[in-house]
Amino acid sequence: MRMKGYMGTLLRVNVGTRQIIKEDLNMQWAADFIGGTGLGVRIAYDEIPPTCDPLGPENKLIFMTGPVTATMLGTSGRFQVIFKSPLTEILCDSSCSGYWGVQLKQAGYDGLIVEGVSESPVYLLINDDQVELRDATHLAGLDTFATQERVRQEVGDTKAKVLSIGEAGERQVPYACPVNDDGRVPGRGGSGAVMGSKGVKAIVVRGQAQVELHDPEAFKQLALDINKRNASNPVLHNLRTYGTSWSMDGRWAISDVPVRNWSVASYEALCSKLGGKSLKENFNSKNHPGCYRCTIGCSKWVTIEQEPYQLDAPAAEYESVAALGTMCQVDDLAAVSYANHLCNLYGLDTITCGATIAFAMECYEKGLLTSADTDGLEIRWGDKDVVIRLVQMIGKQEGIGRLLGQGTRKMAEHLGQDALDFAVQVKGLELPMHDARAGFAWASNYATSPRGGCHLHGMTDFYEESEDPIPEWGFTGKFTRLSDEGKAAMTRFAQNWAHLLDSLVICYFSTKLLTPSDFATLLNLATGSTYTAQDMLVIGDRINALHRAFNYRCGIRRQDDTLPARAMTPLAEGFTAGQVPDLERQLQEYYQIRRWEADGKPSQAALQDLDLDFASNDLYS
Amino acid sequence: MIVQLRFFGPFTQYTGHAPLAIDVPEDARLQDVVEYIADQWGGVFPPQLWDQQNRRFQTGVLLLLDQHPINQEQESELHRPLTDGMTLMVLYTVMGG
Repeated sequence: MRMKGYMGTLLRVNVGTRQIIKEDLNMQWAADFIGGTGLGVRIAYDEIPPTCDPLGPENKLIFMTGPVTATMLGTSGRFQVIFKSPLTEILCDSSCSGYWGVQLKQAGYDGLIVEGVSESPVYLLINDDQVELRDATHLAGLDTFATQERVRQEVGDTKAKVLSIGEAGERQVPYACPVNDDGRVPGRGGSGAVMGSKGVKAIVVRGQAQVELHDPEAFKQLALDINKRNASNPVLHNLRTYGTSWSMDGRWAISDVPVRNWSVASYEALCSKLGGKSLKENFNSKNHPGCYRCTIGCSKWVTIEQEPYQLDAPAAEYESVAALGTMCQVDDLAAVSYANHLCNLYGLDTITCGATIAFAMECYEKGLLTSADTDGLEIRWGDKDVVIRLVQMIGKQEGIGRLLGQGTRKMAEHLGQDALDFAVQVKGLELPMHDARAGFAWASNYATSPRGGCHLHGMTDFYEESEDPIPEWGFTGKFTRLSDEGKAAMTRFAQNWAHLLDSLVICYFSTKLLTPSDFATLLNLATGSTYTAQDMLVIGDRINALHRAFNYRCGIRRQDDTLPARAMTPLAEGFTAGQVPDLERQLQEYYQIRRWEADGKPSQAALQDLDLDFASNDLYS
Repeated sequence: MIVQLRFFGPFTQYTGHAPLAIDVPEDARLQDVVEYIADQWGGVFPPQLWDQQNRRFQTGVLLLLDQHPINQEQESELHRPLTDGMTLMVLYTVMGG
């Protein structure tokens, strides 16, 4: 029986055969995995061969909404995309804000599965129950913003929501991402490259349906209460005022802003030029049109008149400012904003892009790259115009941009010597802009994150200076950031929390004030289920275990759960001087908590206890 | 002697962005600076950041004295003696974006 909160239908489009099918959503899977990432991982487990070529016809793009998507709950406009990553070659799920997910659900679909490979470029048009593939040959080479405008004109609907790739996706750069709603991206892992490999330039959605809820009045009251909690929170107020890059204004003090490819402690003179306060005061940042029903408003918009970096575009978020700025030791916010905008136009993950450029700068300094490799371009620290030029070369796959387009792991493997030691990635995914030396739980979190080095699959930093963070789950105690005590358990709880958010699907920033009971109640009011707070923990464990089982079948083992040498080398100065986490201790504890075997495989008992017998059979038959 | 006070993040709404130099007695301890903060802004800091009843910062707020983290839970930490020119940073940050 169909549960409320869901539309009850998955749309499956094979762009090779042009077959378009509407399927019933598996309601047992929905009950077990909720939606979003959870359901996407469940579908991927059955449908994506773990050893397939990520850029080949067997890979799929699974776009998923959740049971509270397109409701009146603040920040419920997100969607997830699940696929085998061409950057990491394991299963990746990536989250995106804006309005596109809302429109997909309002068109009548909980999710969209794109499969096959088209012989020529196409775009997919979904207008309620009318679904068609259209020729996109004429859109080739257009950037993501131009594609949005062009497609809207063609379909005669200025409000149509367009998710499109740019040149980087067309050229299948492994960390290319699609873009929707003026700079909203599922940034990580290369879903844009997979779109490009399938010949899909854009997916356009428009929907009119309303989501039916089990108890709309009670849901409304809880949603209003949550919205009110968020609106009155002083920390979120600061996000609203300065944007996410205000983190830089304070986090330098705890050495949590990576500088010069993670080799130097962050310092105020650099960070204060790039932070949210500078953005507001120097560029008069405004609110971005942002995301569906957002009560936080963390995203900003800037107009920059400083030549040659003029732009009128989304401001760079914290991660992007750090990757393209401090990591490369560039201190000009106009130039960093311009580089960020170029990434949006080409459709490139700013974290991997910036981290790869910083890595290239260090390779150049060490002589692993020379001007003979770069066609004379001198890739030196702090050269803002080199950063911009390299983004262009990566996006267009020109010259040295072809090598940088592979990300740091493959670059390091190509360059040899000790390059892997300072290629700061886990399982091929470059670390985000938070330092495990400044918050020790990041160590086990990054090492075990289901998609590789990632901060969004467990925001342990929320709990690093806390007391009894989630009592309902038994996550109690006092924690300090430069200690390994309790950090493995923290990683498990934070990862499960993230899996729930990505399955409901809602924004992280809106949930710092929520409890597992809030999640359960939201779900129950939306769907008519009877989840408890403890059920939420179990579902988080289940999603994590199944994602791990997929990755195990891709070849991931214990030795892959690690951090590169650079990330474990103490800094000489600053808040964390001389200190590093004890990764081995954390991993031993984490493996026990997750009940993983010594080689990194989820134990048979753990899989069976989580009702994952099918995975247990696969891994143990 | 002079001690510098620096606030970050949401605290700047109530205190301003600029560093503050406060004059404290030669034998002052960290607790005295916390008391100064309580007197100046305790009434305006929101409850998510400040425990009005106990006149201390909430868990999650970071205090750094010359870059060394201070554990408010430990009395001995708050009784640290101060020296001229020390800087106390008060911050609360979120991550990501």
